[in-house]
Amino acid sequence: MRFFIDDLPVIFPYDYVYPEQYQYMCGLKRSLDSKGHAMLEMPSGTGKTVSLLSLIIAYQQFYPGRRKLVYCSRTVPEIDKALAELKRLMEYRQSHGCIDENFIGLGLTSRKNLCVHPRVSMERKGAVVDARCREMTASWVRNKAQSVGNIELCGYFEKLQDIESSELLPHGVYTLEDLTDYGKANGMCPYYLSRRVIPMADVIIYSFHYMLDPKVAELVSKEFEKDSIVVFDEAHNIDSICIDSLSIDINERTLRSSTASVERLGERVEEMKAQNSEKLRDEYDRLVEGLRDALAARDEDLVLSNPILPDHVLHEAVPGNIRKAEHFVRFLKRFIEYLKARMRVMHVVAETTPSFLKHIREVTYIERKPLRFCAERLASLVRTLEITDLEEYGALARVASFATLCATYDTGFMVLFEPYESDQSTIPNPVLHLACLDAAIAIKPVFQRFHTVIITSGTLSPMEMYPRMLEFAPVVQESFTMTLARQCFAPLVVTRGGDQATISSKFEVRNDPAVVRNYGNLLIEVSRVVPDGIVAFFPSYLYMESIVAMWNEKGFLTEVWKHKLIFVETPDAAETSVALQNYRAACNNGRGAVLLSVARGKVSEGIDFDHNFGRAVIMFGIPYQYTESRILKARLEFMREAHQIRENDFLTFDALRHASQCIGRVLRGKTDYGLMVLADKRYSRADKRSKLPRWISTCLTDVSTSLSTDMAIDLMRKFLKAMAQPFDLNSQLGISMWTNEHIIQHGGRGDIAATSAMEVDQAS
Amino acid sequence: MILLPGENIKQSSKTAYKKAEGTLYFTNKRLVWCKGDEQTPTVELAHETIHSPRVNKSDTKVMLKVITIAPGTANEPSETNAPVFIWKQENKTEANDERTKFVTELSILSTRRTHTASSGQKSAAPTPNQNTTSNEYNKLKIGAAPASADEIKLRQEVLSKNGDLAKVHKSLVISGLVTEDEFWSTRKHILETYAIQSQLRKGESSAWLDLAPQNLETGNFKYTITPNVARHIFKEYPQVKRAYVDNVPHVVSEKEFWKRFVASQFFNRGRSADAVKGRDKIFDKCTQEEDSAFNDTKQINLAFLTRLLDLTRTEEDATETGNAPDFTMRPSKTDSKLALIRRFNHHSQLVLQTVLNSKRKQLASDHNSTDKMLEEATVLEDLDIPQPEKKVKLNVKDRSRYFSSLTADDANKQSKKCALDPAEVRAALDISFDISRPLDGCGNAQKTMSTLSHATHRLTLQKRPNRIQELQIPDDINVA
Repeated sequence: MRFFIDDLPVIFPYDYVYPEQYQYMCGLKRSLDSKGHAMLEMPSGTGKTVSLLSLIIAYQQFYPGRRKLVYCSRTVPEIDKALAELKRLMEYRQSHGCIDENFIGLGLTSRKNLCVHPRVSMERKGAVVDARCREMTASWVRNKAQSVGNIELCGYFEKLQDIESSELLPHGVYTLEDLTDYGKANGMCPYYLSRRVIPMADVIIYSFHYMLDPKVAELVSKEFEKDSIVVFDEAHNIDSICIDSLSIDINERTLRSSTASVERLGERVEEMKAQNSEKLRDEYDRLVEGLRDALAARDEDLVLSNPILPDHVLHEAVPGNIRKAEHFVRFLKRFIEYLKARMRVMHVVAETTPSFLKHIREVTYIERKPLRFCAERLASLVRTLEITDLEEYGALARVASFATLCATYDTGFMVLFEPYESDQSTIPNPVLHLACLDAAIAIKPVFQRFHTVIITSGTLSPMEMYPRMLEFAPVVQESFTMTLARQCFAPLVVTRGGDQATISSKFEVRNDPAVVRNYGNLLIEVSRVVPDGIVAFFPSYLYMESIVAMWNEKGFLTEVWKHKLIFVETPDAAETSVALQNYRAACNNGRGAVLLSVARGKVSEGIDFDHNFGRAVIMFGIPYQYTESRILKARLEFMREAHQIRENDFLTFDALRHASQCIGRVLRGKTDYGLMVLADKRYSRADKRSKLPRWISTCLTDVSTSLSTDMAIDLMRKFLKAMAQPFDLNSQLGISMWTNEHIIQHGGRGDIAATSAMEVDQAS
Repeated sequence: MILLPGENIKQSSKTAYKKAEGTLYFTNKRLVWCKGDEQTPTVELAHETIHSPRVNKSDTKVMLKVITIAPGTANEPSETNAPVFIWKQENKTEANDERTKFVTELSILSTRRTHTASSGQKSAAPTPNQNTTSNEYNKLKIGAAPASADEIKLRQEVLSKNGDLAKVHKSLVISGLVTEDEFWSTRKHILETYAIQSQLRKGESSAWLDLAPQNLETGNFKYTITPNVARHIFKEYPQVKRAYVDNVPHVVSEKEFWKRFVASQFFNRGRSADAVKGRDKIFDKCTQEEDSAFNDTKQINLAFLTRLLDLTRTEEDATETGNAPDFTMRPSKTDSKLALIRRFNHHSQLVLQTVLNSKRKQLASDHNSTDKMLEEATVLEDLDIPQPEKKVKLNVKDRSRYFSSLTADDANKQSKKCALDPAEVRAALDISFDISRPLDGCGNAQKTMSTLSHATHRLTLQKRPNRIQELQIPDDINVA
């Protein structure tokens, strides 16, 4: 269908539009017009991505400037889905008379996911693929190959070199699959192809890291224009990703392997000195000029880049004491020895970065300035020494980034040393954490650089939290509810078991036999009543393991086996994927299955349990973080001081966004239906309910906020019976589905006889 | 004693029953006692009715009491009228041995039944009925003349199952009104339906193998491992099967093997840690084998995974960053819980595989299937105006002729049925299944369709009052 938002004609690739989709697009347009940031919350499963793409593409093609869209998503399957939606949208636009000249849309991902080289693509580990690839594509390897004969190069990569970058890829939308196929068919490397096409592309879809992780962002995101539109979809977790991208752990193994790497670096330097010291001298000269020039290299060589360094620093000359390769190697050795000495301490040490630096200076006489250049200097040296197998230098690079980050930031970071894994354990496993506490640090450059950054998700409530944590000011901040012709999801808060004993995952009571029993009975009852798939989430991996073991021992699971198959998430990604696949097969097959997984785990992010793959989702307890964690405590303290966010507010907010994310997984579209069971006493309290997204909390009635297991089962039966009735799609029209007429009725501009409608509006 | 067809005697022994001498037989179908040399049984208990054996403690008399299942209940023992057999041999140990033979046979019987009953009662998918005579009629061509041996067998089975039909058959065929083949020629669909039904197999039970010990009065535990349970164990834990083959009977006896099995750490994984301590060479090796099989995730073939579910792609998309998760989000160091979780996944997969067979291979991701899957995962169906169903149009070349014969019939009073409005007639027969979606991927769609069409065929046949009359086609139609 086609309609107008203000004067912008929007082509929407369906015959109808959900009202919230229309409103969402209106909100989006406002923020694009004002060139400001936006935060938009829209219920999961109501077609957020397609609304986003429809409006932004329409905007891009209609107004001059053709603002590039950079769409960031969490997981590769979500990138796949977004690309598929984009492809369908563009086909639909074409069939409706839009020309969209030279439109290119594509996704970026790692070498591992794109490689078409027959030998390299067989490798299972991403890091190995990267290393093998570099061995064939690094510029010095290729230079050498011209003089020496028997060096293997990658034909797919070589093919790319001969072609003008504007002629690399015919216009169109390429899913990751399309891209590899195109690469195979034309003998070109899809990975480098996608990277080279970035400047020409209108839409780029990739994962959060490519924008937020400074190491990667440097490579792929630096060329975008200021007026590009940056979208973070499913961004409810964005602060954690920001923090993660600047946090580093160093343990004994890291240090051991860095020592080995430094030794090897030293040998290489000696070797090179003996052969031709020209290269090293060249490097020295360039380093005098400034780092940026030293790194002005081909993109494929730019491999170990540093965490954010301010621009003026990059133009400074590298400090004299690490300019010479052998000096730098010695400098690294000394720094690693210092870290090793720190590891021998047997008590917890938490300090700020300035105090950490002060200690270093006192003990080793290493100044702050050379430390700050550590990562860049290492990258430069690695390149000069023509090293391709960066996998071996990963640990060293980590130590170097650690040094750089410590020396660059005075606030927002904490250096924490823990000799033991937990308070209970007795075997030392010392870890030196550099914990980033301020989420704003990583995302600040993004907000500053781009005019419009859109943060959107199904669960962003309470929305005032994000602008405070990320330090930005949205011009549009809206939360949409779900318009429904029939109530197709039912949130139920179960507070008591069948025996009226309170259930809760509170730490003190979670292993209580009564709680374990009541949770077990809830699972049995639900698996008895609900058809097809059921997903159950637990607050932590530890709790899931222990409660599953207890259930197994007490025979609860035997009952569940009678009704459903049981699959459980494991720490291994491949294993879990297989379990998921089997789970879906069991749901399709009619046997039905229960999937047990963890609220912050891999499954809760990005896997949909729509239709028969999830008729009910049970959230056992509230997924609070482990509050005794020192890093979390430090972060809470930082937020209280810097952003005036109270500890409890943040913890509850964080727990409930994960809970609502989990339960939101069951819905897609309005024909789908599902039960959302929140099994904890504490969900019935007002402070918890208020932090649920509006579209869920408005559906909670007084009855459904305090149920015992049997009452809940009764409600479930009724709900499922009601949902099993045939549903006339036409009853949605006007309520939860709009045609052009309805848009006009609600004061918008439809396409049918647009002008006359306007007149009628004005007359009335 | 007269044996039933397919019956053979497993045990026999001289015993006394109600003070009369006779012989007690245990066959693969029933428990029989015959008085003296008589051939007809005095006591006859089918296996299904036997609950459990009871023996007396005293040494003076060697007695066996067979508890039966109370009529009308699933598994309730009834003590009334339980027959008691007495061994009157002089040598008491010999008598004891004789009795033990019977007791073991009977207890195997009862454990097997409790096992099937407990899983069969409530389970969503009961155990496959092992005893069904697996007649494979799938390749049988029904209606061939003369009837094949298989078809005759099939006819007999249908008659034995269907009382009404047997009556009709008796009155028509046996009295000589119609021949056997004629009788069946109009009832082909019954045979076909039955042939299909007899092929349907119930899926495997999803029940988790749960060896619950019996609590004996002395306070000890007792595990009963029947061949059936053993098979189950072997299937669930291939490591145990290997150990069994390697060790029984030349290293340990079978009994000893199972004794050590239930006491081993391997078996008790995931149970409370203090239950078992100590090492066992055989089963510690099993534990290691299982762990290495589970830990070797590199063996997992990711190629058959649906792209959208492949979590490794996200993992490999960017280098790992950030602080390590706190210890509540990491797998526990003690492997036993993880092994339990993996056993669950493994078990579910086994159950599923018996149903899915080898359809796995088809999932291998080619471009088209990926596109289709992505479309399914993204399209919001309700936002599109529903497309009218695609139906095959019936193409009648000369409509006037098609209906004229029927209108001509209208005058003819011989058959009033034809006077009906053709649309109305069609409406009655019009069955519009939406076969486009729900049948996707639920097993053999072909087979399901043919079952459905048989059912509808039968329905329409039943609707017509008299088939013979209908065959009397008015002459005019032939003329027309």
